[in-house]
Amino acid sequence: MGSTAFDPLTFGYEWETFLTGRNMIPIKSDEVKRLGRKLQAEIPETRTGTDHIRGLDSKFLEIRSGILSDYQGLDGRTREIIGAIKRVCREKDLVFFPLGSHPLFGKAAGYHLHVGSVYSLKVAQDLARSLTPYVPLIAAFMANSPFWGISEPPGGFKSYRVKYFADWCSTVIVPVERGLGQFVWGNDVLVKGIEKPTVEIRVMDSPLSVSLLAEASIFIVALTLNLAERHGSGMIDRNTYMEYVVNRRRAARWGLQALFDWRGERVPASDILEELVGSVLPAARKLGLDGFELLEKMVRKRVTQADFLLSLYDGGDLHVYTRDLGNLLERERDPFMDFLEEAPELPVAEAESAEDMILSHITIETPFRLLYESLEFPYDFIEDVVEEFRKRGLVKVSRAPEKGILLTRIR
Amino acid sequence: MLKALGKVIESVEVEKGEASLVRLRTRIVGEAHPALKLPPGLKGRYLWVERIYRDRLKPRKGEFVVLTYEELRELVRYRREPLAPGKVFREDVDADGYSEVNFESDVLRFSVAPHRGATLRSLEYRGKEFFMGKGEYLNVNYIELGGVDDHIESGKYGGALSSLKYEYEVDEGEIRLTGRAKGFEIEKAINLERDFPLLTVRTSFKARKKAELNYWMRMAVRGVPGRSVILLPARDGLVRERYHFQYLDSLFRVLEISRMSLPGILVLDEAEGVSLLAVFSRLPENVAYRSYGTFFTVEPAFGKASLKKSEISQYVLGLIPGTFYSASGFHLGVFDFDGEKERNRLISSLVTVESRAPELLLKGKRISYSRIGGFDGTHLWKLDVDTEERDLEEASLLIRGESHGIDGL
Repeated sequence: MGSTAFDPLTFGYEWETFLTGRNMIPIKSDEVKRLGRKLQAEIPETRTGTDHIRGLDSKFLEIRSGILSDYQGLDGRTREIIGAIKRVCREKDLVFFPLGSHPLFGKAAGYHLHVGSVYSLKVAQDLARSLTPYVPLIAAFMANSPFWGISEPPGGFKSYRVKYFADWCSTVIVPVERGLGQFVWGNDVLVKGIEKPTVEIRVMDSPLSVSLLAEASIFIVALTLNLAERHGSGMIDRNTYMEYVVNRRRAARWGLQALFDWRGERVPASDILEELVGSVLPAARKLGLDGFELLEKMVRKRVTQADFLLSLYDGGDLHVYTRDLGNLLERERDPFMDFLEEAPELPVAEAESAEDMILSHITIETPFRLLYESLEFPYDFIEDVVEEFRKRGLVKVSRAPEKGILLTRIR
Repeated sequence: MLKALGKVIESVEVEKGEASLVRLRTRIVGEAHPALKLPPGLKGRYLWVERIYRDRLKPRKGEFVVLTYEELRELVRYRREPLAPGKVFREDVDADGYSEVNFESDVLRFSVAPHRGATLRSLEYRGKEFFMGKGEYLNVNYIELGGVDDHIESGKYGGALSSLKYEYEVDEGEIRLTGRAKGFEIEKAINLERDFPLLTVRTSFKARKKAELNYWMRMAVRGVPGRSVILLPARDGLVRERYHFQYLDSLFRVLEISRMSLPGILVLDEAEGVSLLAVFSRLPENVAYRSYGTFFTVEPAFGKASLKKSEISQYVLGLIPGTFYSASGFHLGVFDFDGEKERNRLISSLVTVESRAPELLLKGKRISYSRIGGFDGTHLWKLDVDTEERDLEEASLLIRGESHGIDGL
């Protein structure tokens, strides 16, 4: 690999956003489509359109940046698109609502960043693998979905979207031996190779802050560039892979307060990000960004967009809150920036172990299927942990020919 | 859970602080959600509301707010209103801004929503509510409120019948509802026994012209994760499905049973020992079970009926709650504790089962009893396997145990 991996270095995003009526309920699919077409016609360099929302009779307005090469292009193009969207929304009494989930329905909205142009599938796979350990960190600082309808407590997770694998659209990376790669859709990081010459990072929640969108994108592109210059295969050992899987869950729960397992030690996510921000800065400068002002503030306070959303919520009716939030987002250009100035510093959270995560999901006759679907830890790992629980008398294991393994908590 | 969309006409800060007390004058401009229809006369009304707001979130003149049921109450006032002698009354029990018709007996209470598909909205037994929940926003045009409703179209929820407005009349023991939709005249008769926890719902479809009818019921039950169990008697043995909270559709298939052996389903909360038996006058062709966040649904479908003009197809549902249950491949039964006699009384059974053992495990064909009061489990039961479809009235004889001479529990 190397910077010769890119021919040339380009990037672009797909940003899934909700469009709602005045009542904050997502509008019908046809209306979103019409709007998407209008926007694409107005700003032809973008490919803005729509995308499917699982289980909802509506669609995302998917803002697609088109192909970019530097920070100025990214920021300028984004602000141009947002300006057009907000103008159309004012004309049509709609609300532009970019969050990682809709507070009333759940439903995951993501931000997918493509880094390219990588024409070698071998190189693209090496690059995707190299990104794996950093995925939880990216999920942590982009957390923006602390609400998930009434079935989950507000703030129980800073990113319910990552907890729920973005409705199966950003799932745990399936490790593949080098030389045996195949197309796997929907992982946190994806080699688009057969379709587009890019590596796609999909784990991010849809951001409400345009400034964070820009800084985060340049950070990830710069990180990818640095990894490319290491000329590594990206192959990771079992321990590193398990760190990724477990850190991912902690990132979803705690955002930048998370405590990660990092190269065999416990390290706050904020410390890792602080170090990385410094190390990718030279690459970022080449892309036209002089400094990560926003990320540095977030790191100092361990604060995310999810914390901003939670700071405004008083525990009352979620629909009332959603409408009030919609007013704020319409009124202010980037309310997250102001919040960051006033936000208090948050402490580092305790690290829940993988074993505790598994045990907390076991109730009465819990199917193994449900355990796997909730955590996406490797089968063998879950099996070994469950066997240990059985030996310690914590769970009872039974077998059912039509349901598989069933687990019941004893104590 | 009625809500409305309001436009802010005026905003007055009453007390300033980190969180300020604000009075807003609002005009009601529409629905907060398409499934939450505004009662007549509400749109266009003005309302002052008082709220506490953090500074940045304070709405401004011209912006929009969502008004809650508590805030709308002064405009939507429904007092409890008797409808017929005895315990029948009209009251808005689910706070949707419309009155439900409510029946009460000493142990059981239910509510029907004539304005919304004649849905059986609430069923409460000894303080346990089986159906009515907080309201889960499932889709842009559907909110899950819980309950039992009728369907004749394919789809997961909603549909023409579940939002149909019915006319109704009430006498002491029965509510009768009529409506029209999709080429059918629909009649529903809902009856609550006075001294016995049995609720029956008769639904009749009369074809206005030659038509095909694919009728299915959707029972949306409040789930208690890990504790709610659904029992379905299948031809090859009893199917037990335990409700677990899962937000997403599983990667794997939804449960569907197309081999029912008895026209009944049992839903149980194991920890509380309270169960609900649903009995049908016809054997369902298929029963689907789905999990929807805090609810789960049981959906018996009765197959296609081809009707000539004016021909009627009728479906009867019996709902029998009780304090514990027994179940096996041949048996679905619910018991109630008779406080006066301090013993357990069999109150519903599709079959009875012979057993000499006092305690057996609940698996397959064996039976378990939770002990309440004086039951010692040593009684003999007459074995009588009942696999014929029965009229519900005839089945109710079995339910009372009269034809089996069951007593002396």
